[in-house]
Amino acid sequence: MPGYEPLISFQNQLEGHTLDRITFVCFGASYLTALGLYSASQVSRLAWLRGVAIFFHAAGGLAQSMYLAYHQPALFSPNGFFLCFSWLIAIVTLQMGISSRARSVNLFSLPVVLVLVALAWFQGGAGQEGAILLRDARGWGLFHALALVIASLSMGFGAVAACMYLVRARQLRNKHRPGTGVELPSLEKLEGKVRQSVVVAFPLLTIGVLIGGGMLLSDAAQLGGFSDPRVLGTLVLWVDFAVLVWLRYGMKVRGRSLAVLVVFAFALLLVCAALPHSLPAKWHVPSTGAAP
Amino acid sequence: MNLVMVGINFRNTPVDVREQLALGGEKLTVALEFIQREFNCESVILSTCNRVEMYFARLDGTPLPSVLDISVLLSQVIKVDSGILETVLMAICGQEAVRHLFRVVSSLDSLVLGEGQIAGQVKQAYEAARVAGASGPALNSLFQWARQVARRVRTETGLAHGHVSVSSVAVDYVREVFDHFGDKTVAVLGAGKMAELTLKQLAGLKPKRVIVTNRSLDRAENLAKSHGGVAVPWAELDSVLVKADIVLSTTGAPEPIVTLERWRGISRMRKKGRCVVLDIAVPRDFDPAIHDGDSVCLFNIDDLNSVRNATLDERRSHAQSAEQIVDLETGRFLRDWMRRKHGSAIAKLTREFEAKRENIVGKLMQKLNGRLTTEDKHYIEGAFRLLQNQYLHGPIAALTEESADGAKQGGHTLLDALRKIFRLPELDS
Repeated sequence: MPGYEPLISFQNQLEGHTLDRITFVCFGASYLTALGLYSASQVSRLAWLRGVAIFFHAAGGLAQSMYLAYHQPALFSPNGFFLCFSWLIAIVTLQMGISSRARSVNLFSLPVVLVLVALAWFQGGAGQEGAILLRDARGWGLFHALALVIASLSMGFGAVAACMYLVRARQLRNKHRPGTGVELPSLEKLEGKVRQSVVVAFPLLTIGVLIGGGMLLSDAAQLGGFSDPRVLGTLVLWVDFAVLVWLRYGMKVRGRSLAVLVVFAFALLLVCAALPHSLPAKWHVPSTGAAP
Repeated sequence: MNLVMVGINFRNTPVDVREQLALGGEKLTVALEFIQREFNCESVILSTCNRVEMYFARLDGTPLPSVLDISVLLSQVIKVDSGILETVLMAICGQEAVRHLFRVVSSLDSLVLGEGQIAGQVKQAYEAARVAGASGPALNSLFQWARQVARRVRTETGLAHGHVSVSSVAVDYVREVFDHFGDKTVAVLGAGKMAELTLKQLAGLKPKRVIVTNRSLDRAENLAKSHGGVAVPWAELDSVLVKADIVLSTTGAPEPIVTLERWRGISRMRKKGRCVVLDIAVPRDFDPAIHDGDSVCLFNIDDLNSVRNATLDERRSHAQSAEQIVDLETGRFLRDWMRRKHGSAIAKLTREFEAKRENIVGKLMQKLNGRLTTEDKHYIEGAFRLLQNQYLHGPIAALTEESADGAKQGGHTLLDALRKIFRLPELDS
């Protein structure tokens, strides 16, 4: 497999070390502890507690990085997708939480990370089946994968911002005392982030779907046609996103309604990514590649 | 510590007297020069709208200016009847004066508990005295310590959390809704005193445009002009609300001027997104039903006042822990001061004992020369050193701990006693 030698060599170097002992529990528990500590630091406003929370968050990120480096799960395998997705959100929001004034971002991002880790765990181990990105992906397949993954990531961040928006809007509706409760950015800033996520995700999803459709017609992805649940799931997701974009820019839906729609779209994305792989075997058409 | 504070504050002196006693600019310099010339002591004068306090200190035990002296000083500098001054001036000495300054700088003695200006005013007062050459070692260390106390109270307690003015709370709410203000329009309904005060705060956000509307266009124009805005006739109220991102309403209208129905009509015309309405009029100008916490955030005077009161209550709950910090720091400052004050005396005393011990041990070693092993010699030297330390421990500890009582009595009683007990005429701090 030309091009993967450095990766395989790195994996071989890791063999024989204790890295195979790192499991989902290691980083899952670290993230869970960090979440608890972030919550406690929001209540008590103790700087050292926040420091400990950041430590556990970083420890979880490191453990997950080592797990990914050692097992190298394929990005398009069901669990690999969720693992890489959760890792990216964890790492990016760790950096955001340290540097940004929106210190509460991790209160909202870590539950998403934990859900993704749990989904990866339910999908089972660090399997290599369907490992088209690292092993077999070539040309259009790679673009198809990247477009869908970046679109998913954008929606992940959009969903986090949308949840923060809903909490901020609730605070304002109840006329809470400024400077108390969960520290959040302004409504305007959060709405901007939600909007950005939709603007980035929809075109990428469309590109991913179009490439996937082309591959399907040319049988490049070796899927079982349009009746495959993974293909159907991706199409449903695209329709959902198209409706979301129409509501935002056609019907001028904004604020709380837009935030709720983005959270719903993200939930649907997770379902579409997880459900087809959890269906009974008779529903699947045998394949070597799979869309999330 | 030989320290006294003479002054007045808002608790014991009416505002008209405080106004007369204010020592700012030229008067401050004259007063500091006068004190140096007449009393030859260190001085710092803190003059704010709520207090005029003069801190005097000396390193020796010579008496400091009294209330009477200061009455005469003030009557000469600011031409106020010294009879009135004698009745309002108060004096606090020694440890209590230290504690008082620490309470003042921490804003525990302020009219609005936890207000942030006083720490800066104390710093300015000290800087003015330092530049004028009026402060010396005692007040330098006292005022530098006071700054640390203020910082500690602010960071370790919630005494300074939140805002307690209605206009500041209004701005806090606006900041929770909007992120940037360079593209925002502020509409002001009414042109009274409250409008002016709150607009001053909102203008600090640097909005793109300010529109003022009022039943009297002249007053609207005056207010708009002072904030670089434009005035529009009251008849155009709806079009103003269509354009506005932030609405500040302070009219004296007897009944709501914007009902839910009227707002719905305005909303349909609005191209902009959300709107923050600060309704600080009594009776209220906007129907509270328009508030949804998303597209319209309405905060009326009751909302702003409840935040103000809650913040003040929270600050009061932190006052006790702030007082504990002040007490702790007062003790630490006085101990540190006495330690530094007696540092040279303790060093001399220790050196004297060291010399005597080495002399005696040397003679003993000569006499026993040849009969002792190296181990025995070390043991004997150690035993004499231990004896010296045990003898000196009591006097040194007493000198270190001498604080308030010593200061009140001139600060040299214990030193004199040590000089006599140990026959050390040159012992002095």
